[in-house]
Amino acid sequence: MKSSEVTANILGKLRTQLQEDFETIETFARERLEDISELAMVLARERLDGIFKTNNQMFQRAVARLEKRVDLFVRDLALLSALTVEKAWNTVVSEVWGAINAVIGAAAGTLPLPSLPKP
Amino acid sequence: MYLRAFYRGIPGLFFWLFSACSIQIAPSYDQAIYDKILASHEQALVLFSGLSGCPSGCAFSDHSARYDAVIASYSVALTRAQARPTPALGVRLAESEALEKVCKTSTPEQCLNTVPEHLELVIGSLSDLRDTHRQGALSQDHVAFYRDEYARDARATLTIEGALKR
Repeated sequence: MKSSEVTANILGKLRTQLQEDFETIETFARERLEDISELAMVLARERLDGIFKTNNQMFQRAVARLEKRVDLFVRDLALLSALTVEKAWNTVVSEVWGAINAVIGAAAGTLPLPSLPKP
Repeated sequence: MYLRAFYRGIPGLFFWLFSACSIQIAPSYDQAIYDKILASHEQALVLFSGLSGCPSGCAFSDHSARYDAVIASYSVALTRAQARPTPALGVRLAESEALEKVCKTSTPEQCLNTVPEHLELVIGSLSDLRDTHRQGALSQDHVAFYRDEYARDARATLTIEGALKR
């Protein structure tokens, strides 16, 4: 096996992986931002002349949930990005490891091959 | 003889070199949590369906069992999600300067384990709806507001739990 083949394999898999993950992050971010902004507008309307006009306690609880959504949104993006890094790293290690096993297996024949540990 | 020993040592050497290279930063996917969220969501949809045909001032007692069932079901998922550990690497990342601001409102163990807090949002909306109904103040405007909140948070919860599957 040539190193150029290993490189091509890694790049091909990384490209697919990263493309899927970025689409997931983009879709989640867009939908969640729509959720937060639309809920904020509804909450404001309900406070002015709706179900929260006189109910302060329930309004405060709804506001606290809105704040929590904003905080969680940022952490969700960090989580999804961490997942992308994790998968990219493991893809590279898996490919390099597979190439090493292939070379050792071809050269040594009956040598026991080390297996890639599960993440 | 030395050559054979050398060859036999190669796999061990590579194992040692690469065994620490496969990483996990985010918490593990838990099929039981995902299934429980889905089952709870189904119960919640049944609850909202019943409430949408509920005239103004309809009896809380007719729906109290459904409120209890759906909130308890989500609470089971919450307990399991809270017990799920964040990998050591994820905790270290949360403690690092890179995520210092992002993680300032949570502990390093909780920062990248966001599903429990998503579930708390869902339970919060359902609990407020139940309390409003119990106080006898439920209207279709209340149902519409809490259903909207609930549906958006339930979808986000399923998306994040599903993203952990890799």
